[in-house]
Amino acid sequence: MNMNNDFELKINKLAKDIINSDSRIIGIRGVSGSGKSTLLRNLEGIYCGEAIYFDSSIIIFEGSIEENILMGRKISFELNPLLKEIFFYEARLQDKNFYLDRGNISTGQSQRIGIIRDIVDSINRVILIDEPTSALDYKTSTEFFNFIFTNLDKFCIKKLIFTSHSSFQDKRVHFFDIS
Amino acid sequence: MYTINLLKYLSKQTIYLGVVSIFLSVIAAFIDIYFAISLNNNETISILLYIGVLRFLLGLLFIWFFIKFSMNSEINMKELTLNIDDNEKRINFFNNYSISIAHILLTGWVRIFSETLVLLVLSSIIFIKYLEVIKLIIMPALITIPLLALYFFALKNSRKLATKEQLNYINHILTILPIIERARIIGTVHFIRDKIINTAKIYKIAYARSIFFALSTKPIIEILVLIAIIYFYSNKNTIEPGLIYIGYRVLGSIYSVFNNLPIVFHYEQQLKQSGL
Repeated sequence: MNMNNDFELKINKLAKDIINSDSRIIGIRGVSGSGKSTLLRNLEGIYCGEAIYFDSSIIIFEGSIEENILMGRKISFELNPLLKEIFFYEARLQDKNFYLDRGNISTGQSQRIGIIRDIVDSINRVILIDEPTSALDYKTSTEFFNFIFTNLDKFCIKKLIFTSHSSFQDKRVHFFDIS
Repeated sequence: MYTINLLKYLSKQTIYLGVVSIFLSVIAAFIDIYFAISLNNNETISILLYIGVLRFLLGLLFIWFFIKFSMNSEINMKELTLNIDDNEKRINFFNNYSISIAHILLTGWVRIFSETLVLLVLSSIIFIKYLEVIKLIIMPALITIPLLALYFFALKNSRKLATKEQLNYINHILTILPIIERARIIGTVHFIRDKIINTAKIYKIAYARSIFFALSTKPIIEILVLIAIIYFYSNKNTIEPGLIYIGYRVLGSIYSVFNNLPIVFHYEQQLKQSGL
């Protein structure tokens, strides 16, 4: 009972600190089971409609990259050259008509498509993403994060809050440790 | 045939119920012959009524065994789910295929088999007692049978194509459906609705063609019967009441067989192509 209360108090305090933080990019670090996802869910409730929470599951369906990212939203690749940059290091994924199925892309590629899908049209909301780069190696995740952080305005992200258990570092990110 | 591979999975009780169903149909056919002969012999109304009631009770008993067979075979097929490795296929088999196999494929074959036996029994009495009629229908039969064979060939092919397109469509949509929670969050559920509607085009055409062939079976048989009757009367023939009754039963059995054949073809193709 006490442990539950302590845990709740810790989560609530961290949530308050995160909301009060002026930083636009916030990282929550901690080991597995430390309560990172609970904290994100908590924040989603506090922001009340202003935030969207995306869990770590990434589902890629049969269809082009464009379809997988936009899922019916009206943003064209031609109008938004930004999206072309996302897969700058993989030629075949630059082709918007490249047809995805379960067998022809890696978990890391799926994850990058999934994150872009979540943030591409944020309409000035707080984005809460759980373990966005868990399937990426350090170099790729650093490049990918750098790309997102540089383009926060273009993605219309008011505030980006993500969880990570990696040792990722970036001076633009205000990290909160949960342990 | 794919169905034969399934028989080994049926329990002894299910097989017993299926065999009894077929046996009861054949007995009913013999009662039909007895009824037809009684009609021709001008038996009393009460005797005809007794035979009629006996025939009716036998029909009900057949239905009861047939339903029991159908239900038991469904549970037998559901047990088969344990042999499937892929989880998605397992769920699909438990929810859909096991039901289709039992209530359409297996019961369809039992119906085809029992009605074919009934046809043989009824045809034998026509052959023995009404040889003149056989002579009269041989010519039209020689013309219509190849045409019917051609029709069923087209029907089977249309079923094959429809099943292929149906599976392609279902499998494609199944890969999209898990994304529905994400679509709800970002407000694009319409995207999945559009996918369900727009990717169905090829499937709809193939399936409509196949249903057209299946539904056309009845009017085609009806027109052939009309032609046969006109041909029969144009040769100044008269018909005994017993023959009318047997003819009616023969047509009923022919219709049951031809009605079930396209359906069982369809499910056999579907199961073959599903890789289950």
